[in-house]
Order: sequence, then structure tokens, then C-alpha cells
Amino acid sequence: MVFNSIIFFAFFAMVLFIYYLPLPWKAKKTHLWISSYLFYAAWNPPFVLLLWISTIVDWFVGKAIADTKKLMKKRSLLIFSLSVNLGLLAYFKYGEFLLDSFIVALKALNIAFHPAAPDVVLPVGISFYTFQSLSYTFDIYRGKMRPWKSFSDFALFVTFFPQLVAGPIVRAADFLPQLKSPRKTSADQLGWGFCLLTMGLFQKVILADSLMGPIADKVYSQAGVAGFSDAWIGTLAFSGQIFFDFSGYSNCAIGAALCLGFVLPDNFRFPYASIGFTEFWKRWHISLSTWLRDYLYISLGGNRKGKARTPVNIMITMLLGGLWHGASWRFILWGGLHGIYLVVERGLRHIFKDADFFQQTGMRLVLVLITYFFLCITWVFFRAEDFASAFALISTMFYPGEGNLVDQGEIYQVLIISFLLLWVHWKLRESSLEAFMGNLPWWIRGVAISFILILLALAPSDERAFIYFQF
Amino acid sequence: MNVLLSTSNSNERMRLRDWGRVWLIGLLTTVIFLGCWEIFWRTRGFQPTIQDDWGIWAKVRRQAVSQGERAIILVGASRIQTGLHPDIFEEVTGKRPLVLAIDGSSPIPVLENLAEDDRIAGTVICSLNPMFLGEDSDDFGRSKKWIRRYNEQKWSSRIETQLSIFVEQAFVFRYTGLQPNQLWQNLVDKQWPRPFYAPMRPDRYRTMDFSLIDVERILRGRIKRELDFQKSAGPLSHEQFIDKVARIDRLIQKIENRGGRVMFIRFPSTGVVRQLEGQTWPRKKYWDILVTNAGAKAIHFEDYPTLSGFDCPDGSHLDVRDAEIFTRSLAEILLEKKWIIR
Repeated sequence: MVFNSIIFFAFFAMVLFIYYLPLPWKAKKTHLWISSYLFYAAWNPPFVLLLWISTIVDWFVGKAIADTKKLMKKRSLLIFSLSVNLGLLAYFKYGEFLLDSFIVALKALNIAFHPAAPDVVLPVGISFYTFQSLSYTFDIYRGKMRPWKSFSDFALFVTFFPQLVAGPIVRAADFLPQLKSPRKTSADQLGWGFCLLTMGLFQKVILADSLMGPIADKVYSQAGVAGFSDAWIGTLAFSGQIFFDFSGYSNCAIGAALCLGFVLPDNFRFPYASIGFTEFWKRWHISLSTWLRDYLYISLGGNRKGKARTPVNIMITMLLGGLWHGASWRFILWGGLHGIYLVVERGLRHIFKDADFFQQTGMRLVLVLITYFFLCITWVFFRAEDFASAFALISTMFYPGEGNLVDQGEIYQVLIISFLLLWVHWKLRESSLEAFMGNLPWWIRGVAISFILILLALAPSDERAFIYFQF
Repeated sequence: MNVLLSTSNSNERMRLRDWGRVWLIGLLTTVIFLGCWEIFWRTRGFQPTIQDDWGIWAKVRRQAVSQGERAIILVGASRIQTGLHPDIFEEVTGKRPLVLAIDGSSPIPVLENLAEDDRIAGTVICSLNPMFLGEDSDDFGRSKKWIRRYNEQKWSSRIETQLSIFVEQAFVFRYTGLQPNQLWQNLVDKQWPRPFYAPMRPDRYRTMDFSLIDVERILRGRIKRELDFQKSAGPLSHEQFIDKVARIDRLIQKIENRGGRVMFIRFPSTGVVRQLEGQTWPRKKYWDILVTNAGAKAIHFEDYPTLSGFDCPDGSHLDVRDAEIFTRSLAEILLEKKWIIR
């Protein structure tokens, strides 16, 4: 069940109706719990079992870790939780990739190996709820929180439907306390929640799927024959598409949760206005980058183990972060490129830390554009269908030549939207969506919502899944 | 308890007010605009149409299973989807056909899918257009993709299809030709949108009304398409064709072994399109061999005076008014031959 479907609206209307009946808080939570399983079962009912495994394992492991004082036992329990959660992830998401890589490695050694082709269906959202559930165990292991007393609350935390399949990845310490007492939803909260939901759908249905996605698809499906302008327009289109798609999903999730009175963390803060990649990861998919920072990078020692070890820790974190996105060497390379950018940037920051001219507006704008340029290069590996296509496009992007995949109208369309996207991010980089909306007169907000609703009502019913569902 | 707040929550910083007024004006404006928009297009002759997709096809495909031996299943491409009128067919034979035809697509993958399904025991009427007998023609169109998705369909997707049908049936503005990008294109081309000449009903039958369009333009497009098809799917050698017929024969046997029937209908084509088909796929080289080798029940429109003599305005499809006459004649022939029992 995707947000951009009619069935979701029927489902959500039903959920809201029951939720706002005068029922005890426990009944409302049970209702949300059941609705969340129903939401997940819409994809593949048997996979609800995987949710149960993650929930039950982390619930009992969390309790056992808190009950023991022996460090070795705590560590063994943590390893058990990691093995179960990451084991499931490895089997369902990385099984085929590992097998293929193994076959290639054997082939390099002149050993022929022909196993039966695995036929494993990827459970939607497994990377998201696995990380979410694991964060609870990690926090208990580190003594940052006590085990939660109510199992049903914990189960709702793992399965809460607005963010279950594509985040934001919520921390137990952020969410569980919200279940303690009935959520009081004000009219303004409800209004803002619906507004976020509407804006998220606009980003997804109109901007990502109707305006940018088809152009990116056209170029990337024929990467071998793309010319200079095709390659750049296709890549700019994808750069816009992936932001609108994922940020649109996050806005829908945050908005839907807010309608139920729950607060979810931000996942995007105008990332294309970042100056450098350190800042980019503070603005892009924030719930994942903070997860990787807190549970992987810091566990590896972060920057506390000396100058030589820090770049290694950055690279390990980003390579694994790349792998998290997809079971392919392209994603690992994508993560690796981000890692290299971060390491190089770290060195440059050390050299230029006292340079005043970096504080000038013009210079900062140039740095934003340079960052965006390098980002676009990484998106090629993220989107391309294989390495050959990716390298073909990259080489085309640096050698001007004829291209005829995209027409004049499509070029203007992508350039105008990309310019507006960067401009909005630049203007709002020190601000927030709430502040921006807060400065608008109420009637302009009303007309804007109406404009979006009309476009959504008239838009094609092309039911494209969100890109991040596959991760 | 030590509460760890890992990320900021901008929602908590929300200090917006007036949402009641905002949504009131937003919804009111939306409803008024869409209401006027709907009336505007309806007064200009536009009618709601269902957008064909795999979900609706899958819905009809399930009916083919549930109806068992009673099912009359139409397989093929746009010729049968627009040329065989279910209402007329039911009037004559007492049986309502299920439209599983997929426009622009080869019928062979669908026939194969029906043959592989032991629950299919009804009568299959397959429209066989010569261009779908060429090399790699099984891959033409959406047949294979839709069959794959049908096999993987989840309950939520079935509900989504039902809801989409409901919405598309209710509102003209959901028609693809009235979507913003299409209207923009109309504006660029300085062409006023015209009512869709081949709207689809929920039972997947399309009524093709050529009086609503520029027939010359459509005919030119059809000829170009026919030539493109011929280029991309060249005719098979005699041996290759015999192999293909043998494959079709196996499919027929599978269905007939469980009590079903399969019959092939060659729907009319006229003018330049017919000439092109005749050049690449002369009747003797494919249709007659199919009938002889596969032992198939077959009806070629040229063999029956009541089925020939129609003029296909685009060379390939019957106008809705002719489709009604053609369907009546065809249904009577099928009854007469006892291939269908009333």
C-alpha cells in the first residue's frame, strides 16, 4: 500500500475515524498496532512474520541485556540480536548479491560454480525496520535507555505504519515516550499534518513521477547512446527525482503521523544547498546518517582513535551505508565516493579553516554548486542500470558531443525545475518549512493547497512505487 | 529514564495557526474548480473512460477461472477488444464474453497462460492478427508483463483496481487526454482536445467511434505502425512457422483436453492495411496452414459474406456501429456451427 494510491486514502480515513472515537488509550494503540500490520500485509502477508521476529528478539534481548551485569553476557546478547536481525537482512536482501559475487570470485580463480538461481523476494522496508528495532537494543546495551515496560508499545514502535517501510528511522527513545499518555492532537497539528501529507504527494506524484522521473528513465535506459546534454539532463532529472521522491515520502510519513498526534524526526533539510559533504549528510536522509554515525561510526572509534584511523572509519561507514541502499557494487561505489569526498573535505577544512573568504555569500554559493556537481556524479552510479552504463554516462558528461535523447522542451523543463530546487534550498537553508509556511498569509496557504489538490486530482494514476521501498 | 533525542523535530517547533480557515478555503476552491471542470468537459461531449491496466485485466482473468466451463474468453489485441460487442454477443448467444484482449499485444502469451491454468475450461475465442505471428512477436506489447503481475497480485492491489474503476467511471477529468501535460501539449499544438474515440468500459470492451476523430490522421498512423511492425517482426520461414503452429496446437490440445474449446477468428482489415498484411502474410502462407496443421476451429472474415464488406476507417478496426452488426453475424455463425451452445 503506497501513499500515492486510492486504497491508502480509504485505509487512512478509516484509521483516523476509529482513532478519534472516544476509546481508551490502550484500545487506540491496539488499533494502530493492528492497522500497521494490515498496512504491511498489503504487500505480502507472510512477511509480517519477519516483523514479529525482529520485534520479539529485540524485546527479549533488550530485557536480558538490562538484567545482566556481566559485560560478556551483554555483549553476547547484542551479538545474538545483531545476528538475527542482520542475518535476516543478509538472507533476504544480500543473498543473491553475495552468491553472485562469490561466483565471480571463483571464476577469477578459474573455478566454475553453477548453483541454482535463488528466488528470494525482498520484503519491503526490511532495511528500515531492522535498523529501527536494532537501535533499541543498542541504546539499552549502551545504558542510554531502560527496557520499555509494555510489549505492545514496543511492537507499535517497530511497526508504526506511517514510517514502517521507508522511514524516517525513528529511535525508541524518541517514539516510545509518546505512547505513555494519550496523544492530544490540536486542530493546527491536524491541519499541518494534512498539509505535509499533501505536499509530500505533490513532490512524489507531480515533481518526481510526472516531471523528472520519465526524463531520467529515458536517458538511463539508453545510456550507451546518450550525448553530453542527454547525460547531464538525465542526471539532473534523477537528482531532482530522488529528492522529491524520498523527501516526499518522508513528508507524507511525518504528516500522517502528525495527524495521529505523533511527532517523527526530520529526514531532510534542504540538502542541495549543502556546502560540502559533511553538511550534506546532516541534511539528507538524516535519520539514516545519524543512525550510522551513532551505531557504526562511533562504535568503530569515530575520530577518537587518531588521525590515521578516522578516514578508515569514515570509509567503512560510507561503504556500508552504500551497501545498505542496495545489494550491488554500484551502491558500494556510490558510498565509497561519498566516503572519499568526506575524507578529502576533512583535509581541506583543516587547511582552509581560517580562510575568511569562505564566509562570503558568493563564495558559499559557489561551494554549494561545487558540492552539487560532485553529488550529481555520485547519483550516476546510484541510478545507472550497470557499471558499463554508469561509466558511459560519466565519460559523456565530460566530453561535449551531440545528443538527441531529450528534446528542447525536456531540457528547459529539467533546467527550470533544477534551478528552482537549488534556489529554494539555498533560500531556506538556514530556515525550515514551518517557518516558511508560517510567514505566508493564511489565504495563500489555502490557495496553494487547493492548487496542489487540483493537480493531484488531474494527475496520471501511474502507481510508481517510492524509490526507497527497494532498500 | 534517560531520553535520547537523536534528531530535531521541526513539527514541535510548529507555530502555524489558522489551519481551519486554510483547509476550508483549500477544499472549497478545489471542489468548486473540479466541479466546474467536470461540467465544462461533459458539456463538450466528453464521457468517462476507464484506463486500461493490468489490474483490470487481472480482474477479468479471475472471472475466467470462476466461470469455469461457462466462460467465453476473448483473447487477442485491439481488433477483438473493439470489434466484438459483449452486449450484442450476449443477446444472441445468452453468454457474456470476458475480454482478455490486450491492445497492441500478441495473444499467444495469454493463450499460453490460459492453457497452463488447469482451472480454465471455457471457450476461448482468439483473434489472430498476422503481425503477431512474426519473429519475437510474443514480446510485443504488454501481455507477458500483465500475466506476470496477475500471478503476483496482492489483495490490496485488487481493492485499488476496484476503487480506480469507481473514480474513473465517475469523473471525466480523470481521462488521460485531459491531464495537465496533455492539455499543455494541446496548447502547444494549438489543437482543442476532442472526446476520446475509443473509451473503455469496466468490462474492458472499447467502443470505437470514428466520427469523433480525424480519420485520415489515424489511418496514416496505422499504416506507419503496420510498417514498423513488419520491420521489427519479419515473417517466419515455412519451418519456423510450422513450429509456431505446432506450439499453438499444443496449447489448443491442453485446453480441449479439459473440456474447453479454442477457436480463431480473423477480424476484418481493409484498404492499405489489408494490402500490407497480404504482402507480408499472404493467407495461404499462414492462415490456411494454421487451420490445417493445428486443426483449429477457425473463421476468416473473407469466407463469410455477413462478416465481410465492412469498411475499417483506420484500415484495422471496426467502427462501433459496424462492430454491433459484425458481432451479431459472428455470434449467429458460432451458434450455427454449434461451437457455442446457447
